[in-house]
Amino acid sequence: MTGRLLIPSLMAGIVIALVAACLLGSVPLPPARMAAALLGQGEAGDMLVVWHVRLPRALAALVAGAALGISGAALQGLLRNPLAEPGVLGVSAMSALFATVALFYGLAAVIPYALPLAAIAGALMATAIIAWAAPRTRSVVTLILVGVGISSFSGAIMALLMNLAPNPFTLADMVTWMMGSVANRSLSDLALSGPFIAAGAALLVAGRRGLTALALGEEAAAGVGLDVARQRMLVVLGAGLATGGAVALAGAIGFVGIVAPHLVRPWVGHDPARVLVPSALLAGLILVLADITVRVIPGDTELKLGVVAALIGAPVFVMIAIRRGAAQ
Amino acid sequence: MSTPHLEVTEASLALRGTTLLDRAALSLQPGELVVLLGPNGAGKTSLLRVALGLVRPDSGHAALGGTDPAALTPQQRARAVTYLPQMRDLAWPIRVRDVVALGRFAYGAAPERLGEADSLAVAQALAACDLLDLADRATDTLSGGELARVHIARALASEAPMMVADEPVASLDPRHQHKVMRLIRGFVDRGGGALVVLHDLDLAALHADRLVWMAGGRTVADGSVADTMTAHWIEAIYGVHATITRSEGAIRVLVGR
Repeated sequence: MTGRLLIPSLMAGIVIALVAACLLGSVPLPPARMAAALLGQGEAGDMLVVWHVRLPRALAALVAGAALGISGAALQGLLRNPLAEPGVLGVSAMSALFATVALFYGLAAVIPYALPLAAIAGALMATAIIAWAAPRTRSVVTLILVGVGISSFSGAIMALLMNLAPNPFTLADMVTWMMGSVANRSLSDLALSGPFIAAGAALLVAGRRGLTALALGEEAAAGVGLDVARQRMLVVLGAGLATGGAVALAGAIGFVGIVAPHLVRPWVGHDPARVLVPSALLAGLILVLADITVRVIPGDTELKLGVVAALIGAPVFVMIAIRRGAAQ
Repeated sequence: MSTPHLEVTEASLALRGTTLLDRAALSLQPGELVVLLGPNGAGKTSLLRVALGLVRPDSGHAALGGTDPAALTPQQRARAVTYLPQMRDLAWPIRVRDVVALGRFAYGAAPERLGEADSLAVAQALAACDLLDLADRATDTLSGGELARVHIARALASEAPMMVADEPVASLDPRHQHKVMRLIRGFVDRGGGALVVLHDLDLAALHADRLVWMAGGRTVADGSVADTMTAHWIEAIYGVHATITRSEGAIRVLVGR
């Protein structure tokens, strides 16, 4: 009953946030002019601001957030743990590493889809390691540690690449990538990553029923008729595609995938299947709002979106971890 | 699948050099409640998993309704036999109704998408297990006894002809132990076949149609309560002395001196 209004309210919230994202910024743009520009009838300057700066950026935040939100929710369902998330499990870090390699060794310039493909390859490799390790350890702490290991390893290689960076501009680009940002994104960037994110999300939504069964534990889930190996493969692929796409679009943004499912869960009766879609919407909304915050905070250097997300998300992560510890 | 009949013959299974099963045998017919007894580590769970086709024996056979259960898809298997593994807490505090609805998983149902037959089966199972008042409660607010009933209801909702339950009454108080066993008895009386692992000998004596005794991966005895619930077998299997008494027609077991 409570959950029925959840998805419509989140969608309304997203529309309002997108409009706000188009209105707010360093160049003042009154609602009438913004509306005209959105409909394609504004002045050339307004059109440029809306269609080439603010809207693509807000949409990139929305899409990247949604991808991380749905991946986080699905990984939590698969691993039966509310602390699982692409950032915590090192999926984003490895994906960002692969993307960086593709960018700075010139692959992205030669092959059009090299950037998203590299990011997805990294994400898939990390999710595969996690999914391989998961059934071998009963302890979730171990699994989180595996994630920390993947993160640290990716971070180390990234540091090595930075150390070898040919010039300060390359270095600055790498930092942006690691921290996560949607500044200067265009609609064509969206078109490049969007299909992969959509495919990943579709896989996860298609397999959501199995996540509810997994609440019983793997043995009992198999007992009620779930093909556990297939389910694991589905989530690994789906989360890998979606997270990889998100990283290709916005770099490594952590903790959104943990905050959104956590907030949504009580509204859907804690059913891991019903968490997926609202969690994607909420994570998208959070990133759009966080990006607006980043843009309107006055200052010479813009804060990175990933930094803001981590500032909000990391304390929530710690809170959930402590509460779980207390419950056991 | 013709007759819902479960059978294991001469099954042996080893894992990393440790023998789990040694030519174990088991059968289960509709309308019978078989209790599997044996000390911890005797291979009871392994035998159940072989019988269900969740693991293929190194040698020997398993058959479920005449076919190899390991060749079935998880869906086909779940429709033929409902499996209650040893109870673990649910990963999420999902609603009682949603857990019971998972019994319909093999029919393509999801808790938020139940067909007419699914809804009916869920409602009947909730009623049979006396859970209607708890249907909208979160599972983390239930007592152990209530949660055990939720799992039985999930099994009943599947409407599978066979049930395999691994220690369904572990860590329950005596009242709930009997309540759960009566629910399983009811399932058997309606024509189902149930294979249940128990550690409580009195409970087994009271509810079982047949007992299968296991030790060291072998099924060492298989027979009626009257024939096999004896001081001899209890000592042979568990290594404890026992006195068997009969009160009001029921067999009682007094373990120890």
